[in-house]
Amino acid sequence: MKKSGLIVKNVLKFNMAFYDYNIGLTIGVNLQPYQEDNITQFIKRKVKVAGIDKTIGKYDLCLVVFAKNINELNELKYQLRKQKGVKDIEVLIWSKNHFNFDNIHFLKNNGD
Amino acid sequence: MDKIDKKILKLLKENPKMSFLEIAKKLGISSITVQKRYKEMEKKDAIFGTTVMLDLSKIGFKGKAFLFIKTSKNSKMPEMIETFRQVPNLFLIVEIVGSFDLLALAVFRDIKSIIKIVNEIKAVPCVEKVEIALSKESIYPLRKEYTEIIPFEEKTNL
Repeated sequence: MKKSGLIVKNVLKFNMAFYDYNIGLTIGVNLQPYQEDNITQFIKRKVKVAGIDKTIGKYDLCLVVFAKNINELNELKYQLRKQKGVKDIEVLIWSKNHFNFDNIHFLKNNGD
Repeated sequence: MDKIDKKILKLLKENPKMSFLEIAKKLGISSITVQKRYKEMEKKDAIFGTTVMLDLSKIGFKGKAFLFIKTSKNSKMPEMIETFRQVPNLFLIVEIVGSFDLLALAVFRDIKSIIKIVNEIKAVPCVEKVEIALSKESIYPLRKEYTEIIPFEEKTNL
């Protein structure tokens, strides 16, 4: 499986809350037309995010962020909002995670 | 957590398969000390052990979807979560505060299969609305603040 590339690598799983990153959130970002690459580059360089997904649909970008407190979260929100090319943002704060990785059907079933 | 614990984590972050004996040799301490400290960090929930990072595109998954779900006022969250757990290829369900009540992440092989997932979610009682964002690309910036403690990859296919 390693040879085929399915297993990329082994990783150590860290508990973010233990390191004071108590707030996990997803931020949906809607952009002005043709701003995706500029804003992605800006976020990569300047904003403290853990993940950026370029998306099609409800939002243009979905960001995964961990913040230590509400002040840090607010700062992040304003940093994003004031950026030219950002139309609007929506903050969705995680209250409880339910991991369900066992539910990924590795073998193709009918319609999966 | 002291300097030695951090050094153990740093080595394990670089190579999660490194044995306690190898770590001990590198740090100049006994392997029993490494083992004890590792177990203590697990006990304190600083780490959750090791896992493998998969590239699901290698087995036919073509994309990842964010599903934003709004539920009705009389919804019973625990029952709903249990129902969502049964939806194939839904690998993470997050209860959220904001303009939606739940965020679910799914992987899919083709458009037909993501439509099926959305329809299965819509069929769950008390689901009022499902909105979707399909991921074209995932990027994990290697920010110092996070990478000091977590091993995010720069980029993955899913």
